Amino acid sequence: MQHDQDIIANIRRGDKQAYRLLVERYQQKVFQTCMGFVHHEEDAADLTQEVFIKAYEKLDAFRGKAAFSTWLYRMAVNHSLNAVRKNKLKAYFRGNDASDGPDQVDEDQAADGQLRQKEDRALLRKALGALPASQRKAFVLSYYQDLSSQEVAEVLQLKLKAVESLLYRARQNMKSALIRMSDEKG
Amino acid sequence: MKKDKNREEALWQRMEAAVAREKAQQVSPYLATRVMARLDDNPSPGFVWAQLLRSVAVLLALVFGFLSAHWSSVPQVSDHTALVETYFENNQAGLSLEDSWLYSDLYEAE
Repeated sequence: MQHDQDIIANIRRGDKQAYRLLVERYQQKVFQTCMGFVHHEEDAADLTQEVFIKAYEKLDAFRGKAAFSTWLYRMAVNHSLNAVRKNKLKAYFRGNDASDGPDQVDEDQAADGQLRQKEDRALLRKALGALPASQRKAFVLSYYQDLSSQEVAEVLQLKLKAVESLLYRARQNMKSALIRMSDEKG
Repeated sequence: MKKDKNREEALWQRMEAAVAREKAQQVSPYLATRVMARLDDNPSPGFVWAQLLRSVAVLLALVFGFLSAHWSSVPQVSDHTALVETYFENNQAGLSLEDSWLYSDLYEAE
């Protein structure tokens, strides 16, 4: 398997099609990261596409100090977070809550199992959405991408201890939010 | 207390399952093709910069042309001054003008 650095060198030499290899190699991971922020398949696919186009355009800025994947995941996290913020802002000016997206639970719909899954998804979206940005980034990278704390630290350019603390606080905050939301629902 | 803990644990497990379901979603197999098509449609960043630089250079040349004309030290001469100066500074001042009056067909007709 060709190494990322070799592929990047080929692209820099003008072989644009070589970029397809990088897209195919990392598309699933980037998609999972985007899912962790938008929780909607089509939106996540659109975001993934935007991330890869942005990465290509900024490829000259990639110096190779870290792995390409680390650089790409950082871009995916920041791009997804910006997209979520933009959507929230749009929703605010439209006068509705951004968290009420297409996955809102329809009581009359489908069987119990499916309904329960949709409820859980809505809960997850709300609980994650309530986290501060840094905790949310760490959580998504750790839970959606299965990155180790050390890898998360590299992506977020933080110390290992800081990431462990972020993940701990993220879990605690999410658990409190889940209990609160569950109580509100009755 | 233990009941709360159990409830919290149950909720957390449901969240982990929800995360696992979202993670299991597969990206479209056409994504790479779509990305490559978009890259083919869009000119490379270098091309965009070259176009931008060319536009800026043309604009600067135009502005420089206007400003250099505006600030140049050549005195502004009105049409009237130019006519008088041409008439009196010429060695045969007004000759051609008078000739045209005296010998024009129009004059004879009157």
